[in-house]
Amino acid sequence: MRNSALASALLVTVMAAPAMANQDVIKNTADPKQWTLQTGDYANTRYTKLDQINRDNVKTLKVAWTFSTGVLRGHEGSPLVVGSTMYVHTPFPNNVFALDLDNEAKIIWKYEPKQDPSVIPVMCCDTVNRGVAYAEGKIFLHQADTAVVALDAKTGKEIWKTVNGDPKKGQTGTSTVLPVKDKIIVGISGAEFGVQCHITAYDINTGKQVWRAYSVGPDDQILFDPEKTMSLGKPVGKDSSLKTWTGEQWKIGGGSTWGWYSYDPALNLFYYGSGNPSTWNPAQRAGADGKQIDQKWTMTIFARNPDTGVAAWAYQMTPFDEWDYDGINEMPLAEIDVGGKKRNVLVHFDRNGLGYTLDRATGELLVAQKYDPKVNWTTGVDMDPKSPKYGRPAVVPAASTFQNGQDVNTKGVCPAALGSKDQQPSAFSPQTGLFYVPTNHVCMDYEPFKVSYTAGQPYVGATLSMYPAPGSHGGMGNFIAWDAGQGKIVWSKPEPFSVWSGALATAGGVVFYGTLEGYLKAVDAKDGKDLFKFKTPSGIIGNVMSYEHKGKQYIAILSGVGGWAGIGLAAGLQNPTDGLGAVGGYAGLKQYTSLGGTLTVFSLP
Amino acid sequence: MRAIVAGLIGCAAIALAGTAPRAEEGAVNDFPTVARADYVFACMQVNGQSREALEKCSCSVDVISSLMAYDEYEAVETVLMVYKRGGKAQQEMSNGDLQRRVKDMRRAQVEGELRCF
Repeated sequence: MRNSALASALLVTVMAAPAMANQDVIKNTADPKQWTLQTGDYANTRYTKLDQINRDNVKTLKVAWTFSTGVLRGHEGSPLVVGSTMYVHTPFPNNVFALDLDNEAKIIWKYEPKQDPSVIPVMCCDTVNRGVAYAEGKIFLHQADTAVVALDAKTGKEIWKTVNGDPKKGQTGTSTVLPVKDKIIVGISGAEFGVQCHITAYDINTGKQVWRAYSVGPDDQILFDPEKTMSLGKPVGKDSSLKTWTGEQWKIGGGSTWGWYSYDPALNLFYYGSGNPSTWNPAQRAGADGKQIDQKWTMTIFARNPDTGVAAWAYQMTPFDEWDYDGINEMPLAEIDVGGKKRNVLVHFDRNGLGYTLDRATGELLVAQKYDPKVNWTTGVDMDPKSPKYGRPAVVPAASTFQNGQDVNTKGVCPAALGSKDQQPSAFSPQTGLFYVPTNHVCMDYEPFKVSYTAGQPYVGATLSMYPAPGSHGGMGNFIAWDAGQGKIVWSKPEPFSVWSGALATAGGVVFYGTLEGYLKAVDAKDGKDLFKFKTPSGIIGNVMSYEHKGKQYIAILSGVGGWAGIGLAAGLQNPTDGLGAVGGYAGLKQYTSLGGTLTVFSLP
Repeated sequence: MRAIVAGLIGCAAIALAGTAPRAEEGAVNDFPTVARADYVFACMQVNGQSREALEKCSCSVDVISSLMAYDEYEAVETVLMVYKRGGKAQQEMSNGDLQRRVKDMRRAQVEGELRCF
């Protein structure tokens, strides 16, 4: 049954008419006045052609208006602008607001999904949501409980609703969706809960499932063609995933798909990465011979055909993960100079601390270099196509949580489990040819322990402690400019905290990003020189975006992190049981702290 | 009074012993008004919306700002804010260096209590 499904899927690829990209998305993302995908465009460049705000005048930037989301907790992603309407999403409960930019950002409609709060404890890493997507008059929302909803962009009414997974099994939704052609592509979170994760295409008009491709499992479930799906220049062969797992462990194998997806209309391929194998205790995932085994296709970059889901190529970055280095980060596409030749590449800053550059048509590996000099778990990737270890990172034994063993604390591994960079997306400027990357500068001690699997329960199996990279500037982050053709850092700005905000590059020669302290910062794209900073009401883990309205360029950023620090609450308390955490007890405070999630919009005076 | 303060800061697990924190290098009384107002606002929520509370709370944040630089206060504020995210973010904020800085701020806060309340 499964086999015939794959066969017919392959047949469709052959017989399908020439690819028609989603013309609406292409038209909308080509217009710099709008921002209709979270990633800015299909290529995930996060670059705006708007240049009214530039390196000379950015220092005069002022707050134009603000909007409170009314929700605490982490605000990831960014608003969208379609025509003169702005769409703002919130963390759980995943409300969506449509704001009228022609009318002082008045609320046109508000969508409030009803979700079972029991989904909250199965979200590994805060109740975040990375935002809505727009295409063909619809706003697409991917809720925490995995419901995918198409809303009428004009009225906020539900057009269709479908369910992508089961939170009771630890499956949740945090990512945005990608509208491609007549489908939308949806991923899933849950590798910390032993889910066999997948990516799924739904019909853009009806929400009907078209295909589903798992990250791990038999060929007919992962939609790999043993002869045609390539990896490092060779066909993957039969059972490429099954062969790399012990027994049936792949069934709880993880490989979540909660990151960002890019799409190349010319090649008709979309790109995304898969997360860690479950559990975090590598000893429990060893091969039958007790040795490392790859656990394909976790920690992998995939190129798939959106019509059929069948993979054109795949490249596994971190075989047999021992550190939780998910491979889900963004997959920006650019034309850059590599070895003296213009190449159409995919660039990827992995959690494992390596910046990869690949030919996006073939998956050929062109560059793999550390984008934080402190990365120490590997000495580098074997770049010799003739080597049996081609494309594999050489693991440093002292940093191997597997070789050191279960219940042994492996110390001083860089980067930490959050990676040299997590999901917070980088930006690419075609003006400078450089990538601008928000990074973590954090190392860890990692002690794996035995854990048993129960559906819907955390399946982690490691104790971690994290600290700023030793022997460096003492801070926990850097904001860097990266030459992806050479694999070199061009400039690096130290930051006291990890940079968990997505960057924006502009035609005005400015790069924007946010900090955990709450600053929106503007730096010069050439040399990283500080040009402007402004403190928003809370820490920033959202992504900077830009739009134009009535001839004026705006910069917008969501701020809102765990919650208000409320330091003053502890001062002079007569009752020691009050204090931090007692926020709900004071009516005035409740109103004050619900401002935690705030959209701040800037323009020139 | 001492007992109350000790109870209050029990979570920070520091011994008071009547010693005032040393003024940090670079403590230049550089808190922006918005940070002071945020502190006073919260402080008045728990101590009452009265003129007396306003005086005490203002005094207390002035003591804190005389003992530490705003950069340092802001870093602690960031740690406490991000800590509430839980999960891996919390782990990242749990390291010894950051927790020591939180304790330093709490010490300054206790000094404010002793002098102003």
